[in-house]
Amino acid sequence: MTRWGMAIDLDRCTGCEACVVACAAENNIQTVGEEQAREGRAMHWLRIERYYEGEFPNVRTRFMPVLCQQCGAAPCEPVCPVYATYRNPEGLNAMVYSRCIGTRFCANNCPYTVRVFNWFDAEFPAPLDSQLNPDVSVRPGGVMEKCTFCVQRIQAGKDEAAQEERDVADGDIRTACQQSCPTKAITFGDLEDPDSEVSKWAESPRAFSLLGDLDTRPGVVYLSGSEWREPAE
Amino acid sequence: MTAAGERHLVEAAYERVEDMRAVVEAALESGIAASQIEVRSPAPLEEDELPLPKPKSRVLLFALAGAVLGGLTAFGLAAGTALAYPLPTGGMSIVAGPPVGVVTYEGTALGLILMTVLRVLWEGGLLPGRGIRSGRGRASDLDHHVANGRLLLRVHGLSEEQAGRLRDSSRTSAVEVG
Amino acid sequence: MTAESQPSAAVLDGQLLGRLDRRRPGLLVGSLASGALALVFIYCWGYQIANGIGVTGINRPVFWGFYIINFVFWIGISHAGTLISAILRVTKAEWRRPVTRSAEAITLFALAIGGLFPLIHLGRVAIFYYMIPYPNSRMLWPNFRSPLVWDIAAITTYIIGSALYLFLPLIPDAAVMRDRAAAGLRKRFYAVLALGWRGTAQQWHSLEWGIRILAVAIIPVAVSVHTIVSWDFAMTQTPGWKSTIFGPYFVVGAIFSGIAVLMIAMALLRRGLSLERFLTDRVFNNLGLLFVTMSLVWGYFTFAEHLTVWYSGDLFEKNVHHVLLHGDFAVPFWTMVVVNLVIPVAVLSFPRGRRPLPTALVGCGVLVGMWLERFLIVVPALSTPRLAYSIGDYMPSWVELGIMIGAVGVFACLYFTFTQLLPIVSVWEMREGWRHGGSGEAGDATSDAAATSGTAAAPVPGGGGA
Repeated sequence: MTRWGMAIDLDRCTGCEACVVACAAENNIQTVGEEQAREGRAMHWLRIERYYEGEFPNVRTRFMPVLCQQCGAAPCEPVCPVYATYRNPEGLNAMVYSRCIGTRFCANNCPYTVRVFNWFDAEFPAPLDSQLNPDVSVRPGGVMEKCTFCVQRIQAGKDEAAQEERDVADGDIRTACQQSCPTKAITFGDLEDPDSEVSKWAESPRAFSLLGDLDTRPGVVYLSGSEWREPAE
Repeated sequence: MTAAGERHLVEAAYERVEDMRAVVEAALESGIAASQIEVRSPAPLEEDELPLPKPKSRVLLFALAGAVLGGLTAFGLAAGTALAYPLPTGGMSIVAGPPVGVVTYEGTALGLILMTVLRVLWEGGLLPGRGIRSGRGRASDLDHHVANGRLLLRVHGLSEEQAGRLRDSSRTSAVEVG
Repeated sequence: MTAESQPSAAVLDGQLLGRLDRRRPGLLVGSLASGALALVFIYCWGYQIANGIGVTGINRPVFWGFYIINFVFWIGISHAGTLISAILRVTKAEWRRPVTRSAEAITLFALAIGGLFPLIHLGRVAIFYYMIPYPNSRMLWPNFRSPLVWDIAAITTYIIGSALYLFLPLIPDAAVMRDRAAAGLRKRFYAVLALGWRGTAQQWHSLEWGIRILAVAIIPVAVSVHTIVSWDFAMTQTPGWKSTIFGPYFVVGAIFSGIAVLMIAMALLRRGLSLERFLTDRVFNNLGLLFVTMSLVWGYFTFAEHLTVWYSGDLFEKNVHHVLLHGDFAVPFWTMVVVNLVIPVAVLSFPRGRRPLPTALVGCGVLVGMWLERFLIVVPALSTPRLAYSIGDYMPSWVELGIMIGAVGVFACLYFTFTQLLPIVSVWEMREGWRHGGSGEAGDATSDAAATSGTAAAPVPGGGGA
């Protein structure tokens, strides 16, 4: 069995937000514009949270990329009345856009607040429409969405391996955020495979889960060597 | 307004239940069966106010049957259909106890309520296609007395002679005789 | 009450029927005015459907806003009727007789509106039926583990139950209206509603059984409905929401706000329809006592809820608690405490405070307070998520405000129209009370009626059988 997982080394993260841009481009994420963003409707599936330590001028900024944690015991799943979000056999919290009726209950029950909602129909005025990713659907208004671990890339990787009549190898599948990270702070792979890079990172003594005591069993593991663990305050 | 051939119907409206009681008693003594007598009142009468057999009702029985039926339906809906289309839940139970319990609870209540109301309407002859039998439950020209708070006595299936006698005995105390 | 002020049951009966016969232009004006307000509701909802749910002020992280607040609010109000009237029926409280009908009508209409709000709130309302279980080509069933599906089951049961619970005791009264109306459209309307009711012994017997059973059955349904509404919140793990006390807390709050509406409606009906003889001071006194009791119970639950949260010291819970008691939401919070607890106890503890006007005014305050309570449950918890980076705030848009105000118009329009068409005080139940000699002061006059009925020029309801 496969359990897709991701590890993020916070000690390597510079907060450059290349991953945020890459994610938006890969996944046809709606750009809502200045006014809507001010209302709290920016639609990033992946965001860099910034936390500051110390007093000016001795300030240090901590960066924390937060995306859907693909929980093993996801609070968002049981509350959906229409099975629009469910757990797929490979450990992803899958979203079925066509089933979603927009109760937004899942988003309220997400302890990480990573779910985003299409408040209006997406608009991609020319020439933006020609840069849409053909492998990813454009979501209509009134539908919830969130990070999919680039499920289209997982599918493509599996298809390619199948054509070459081999198993998917570690590193075959790379998510958009991972690919674009200049410091290689993100790795992705199969957590069930003990030899995969992500499994090794996850066994690091620096590894921790975000809000781990909720026991949501996230598929995303963070690594941090400093005292600082969670942005609790 | 006769049920069969020479059978006659006598109607009389009364102000007070005592007046009607006397007429009913006299009618029963003269050999008219209790089943021929129909009383219409603006509010429920006490059981002992008239010397007539108490009506019977099976509403409670049907209510309980409805509860069982509704509960089973809801249980089947929640549990059975989840099993019929088992969706991936990531290791969590497909048929979870508490949710099925909640839905079953509501289904039980709904079944009970619906059956109660249906049975009440059925017994009262209020469902379409029921109730208009042998003149009972039919509109009467004297119904407005009931609406205005009086009592209405209707005796069905009388012979010419019985009807005449009853009309005469009613005239003294009744407000209107029809 | 002196003997002179006690008219006979016959006179009362005539008066009650007289009220029903009289045309009330005020009610028609009320229907039309509130109907105009209802158009605002329709326009705003239509605007939202056409333009998308984004025309509201909700955002991330406050994904639920006015619509859910109003949903809980209206469902709460619906507890006015069915629950209160059922409890009064089951306990055979004689003073229920003039109250039940108006209370049950409040329930049905409030529930119809409350049930609309979750639909208004949906991102894609056109496919709301995905939540309803029926065989379909999608080969999918609703997720019965979701509290929203429990909501559908509970509210469906409650709205059908309430409608029937209003309708069943209405049948004999529809027959009264039918038999008193001149031939024509009015008569046909009431004839349909009366289903051929004649008032035979069998019909009364079955009806009494039915009402008895429904009154008992509807109480656990009403309790379950608001418990399940509370579980929409309490089943999550959102700080400020997950709480074992929410079920009973919501039920108490619902009954509390339900009585508030009942007090206002009854004071208006009493005045507007000159029903002083029927909705007596004693009725207001009794309801006022029930009202102040619910205020105290509500206060107790609120205290218990916040004390345990504060004492636990749980970081995330304390964040929510802090914004409530000392932070951005302190003003609405303490306003709520004043109008829901301080004022009701201060006014209703005294017999003079339990008269129609003061109880209605306290009721208005409680309505505001209970609306604020729902606001303070929904918004602060959402705007204070665990990860501090996502902290947000919420301002409703004009669409949300329009729908909220318009909903009041829909309710008032339905209620005015109902009052015009059907007896808002149950005629047959009042007559039954007069026969038994005990519906409030009005019923005490039965002995009077028996004394005068020998000469009975005026119609005596069934005679002085007592």
